[in-house]
Amino acid sequence: MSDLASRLRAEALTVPPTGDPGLAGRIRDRLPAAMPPARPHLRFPLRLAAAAALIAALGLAWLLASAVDVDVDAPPPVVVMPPPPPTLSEMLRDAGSAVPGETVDGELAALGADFAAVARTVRSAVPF
Amino acid sequence: MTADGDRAVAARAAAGDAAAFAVLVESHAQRLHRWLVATGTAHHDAEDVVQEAFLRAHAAIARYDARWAFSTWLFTIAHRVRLDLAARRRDHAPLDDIHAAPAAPADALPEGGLWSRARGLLPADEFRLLWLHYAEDQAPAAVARILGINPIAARVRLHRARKRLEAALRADPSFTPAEALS
Repeated sequence: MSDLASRLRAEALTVPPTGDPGLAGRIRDRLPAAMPPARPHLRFPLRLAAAAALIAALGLAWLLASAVDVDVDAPPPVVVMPPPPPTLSEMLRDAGSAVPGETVDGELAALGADFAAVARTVRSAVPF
Repeated sequence: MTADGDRAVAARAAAGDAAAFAVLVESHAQRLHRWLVATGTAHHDAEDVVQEAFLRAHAAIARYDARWAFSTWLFTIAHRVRLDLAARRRDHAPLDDIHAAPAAPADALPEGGLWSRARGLLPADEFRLLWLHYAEDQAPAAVARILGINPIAARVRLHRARKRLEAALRADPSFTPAEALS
């Protein structure tokens, strides 16, 4: 099998070029005169990196040197009491004030007026 | 030119050296054209593909990845250009032309040689793979990259193509095993 591979490689060298000799020249003629701009290399400025590292090291050293143990009193406990639950009368008052008729009495009066209107309509519709 | 030499020249071209790119054109244009013609592309189409591939390579030379040989990169571009061309043809071709298998130009391969026989025996994709590996000295991983297939699939197809070719040559009385295979 390796002989087949070597024969394939050897015979590939005997396959003649298929393009005409002017092919490369025609390609070069079509290429733009200027090369495209090269991709800029990512160069991190070494001096800036060294300065940043120095500042960071000095800052860390200062923090470590200035660190002292200080006893701090614990804050007094703050007990937050929940608000007292509303009484029944307060809940009824709130419920009454939540309806559009402002008060329960007003709502009852409006309901009675509606019944009266319905009764009048029914009475006028009856022919006797 | 060796692959390492190519890389160095391509690196100079990527840095803006037009003369270096001209060297790459000179050393690869014929090889690329020969691959295209040997694998079934008509002469005039092959020239168009080669020119377009070099134009694209020129425009994108700054993005050349030196982990691969320049030839691998160039052949990858050319393969895509060829696929683009085939797709455009399919869009505009009558149905009869679509189903017609592309034929290799008669004068591309020496008559009676191994490559000529392989072209007749193997499916087009296996022949293309075989050519890239043995004639263009591309490693299976590079072949896979050029053709846009999985590296394992490339190895499998390469093995299958070799076996198929070997079996056909052994069965061919006009091509004795002693001549082709030891």
